Amino acid sequence: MPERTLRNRILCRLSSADRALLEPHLERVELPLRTPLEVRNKRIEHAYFLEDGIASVVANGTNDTSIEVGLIGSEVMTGLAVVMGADRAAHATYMQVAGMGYRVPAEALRHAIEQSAELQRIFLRFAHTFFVQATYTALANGRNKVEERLARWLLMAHDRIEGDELPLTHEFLAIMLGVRRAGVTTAIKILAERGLVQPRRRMIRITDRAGLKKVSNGAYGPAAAEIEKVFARS
Amino acid sequence: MERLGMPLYYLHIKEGAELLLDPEGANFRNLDTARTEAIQSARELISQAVLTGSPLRMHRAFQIDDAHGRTLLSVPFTDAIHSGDKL
Repeated sequence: MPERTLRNRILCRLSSADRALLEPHLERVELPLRTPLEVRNKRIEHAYFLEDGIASVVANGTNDTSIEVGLIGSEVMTGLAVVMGADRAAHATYMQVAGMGYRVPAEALRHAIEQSAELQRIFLRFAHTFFVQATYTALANGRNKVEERLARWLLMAHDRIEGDELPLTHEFLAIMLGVRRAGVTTAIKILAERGLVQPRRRMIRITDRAGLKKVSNGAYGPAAAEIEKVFARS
Repeated sequence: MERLGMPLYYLHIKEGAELLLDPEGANFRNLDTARTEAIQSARELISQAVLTGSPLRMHRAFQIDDAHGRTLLSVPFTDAIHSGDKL
């Protein structure tokens, strides 16, 4: 695990002693679009520390309904359920923007946490940020307009990628927002007409972050601030 | 998700002379299931407009095209309320 390539913010912030607990077990993996990281109701095999790309945690209901309940990039990790003592995934987690990262077997993660209270403390702190994100997603889904939620989602995705171009299909965005594709198309048009994004084929370019924040109507911000709080303090 | 073996349909939204393009299209079993998606999409858009106090723009219609760009069907938004189709 060469230091120079390390971009996962959790791995970066571990003490060298804690990192040494994980290092022998870390395996570098390419993560193409749609790679499953966790399968619903199945045992979690690995925790992933993304270096690049975005993973989505997607809850599935009956009759083919689904909605995203969590967004994970290089700022955090998958497998937080393992940190909290569970061994099965409640939801599906898969790559929705291709990337790469390091993975560690769930068993090795458990063992490392048993050996270091500090490691467990840091992972739990990040688990809390993820919980906070999910609660604000619930608030946005219940109380914000589709274009406000789209603005929030694009800002959250933008926080997790290099550059301003998000490779996203309307099909994916529809799952992310829990609406039909026509709802995505209509919301993108509203943002594009205000000059905040430029839609291209299977890609959305962010052109005005400040404008998107304004449109998000307060839906974006608290969850991102919670993560930055952890990095500032721990 | 792409369902192999099913035909691709585009559900564009027509509003007067303007056409809001469905850039990707989606696979449906047949034209009838594509129409059901159009009806349910119209219901979603209309209900959002009602909730937020925005203009309903009931003169809109879904224009369903096939993979070759041939228009197969027009589904007026008014059908979403009057059709009686179940969800």
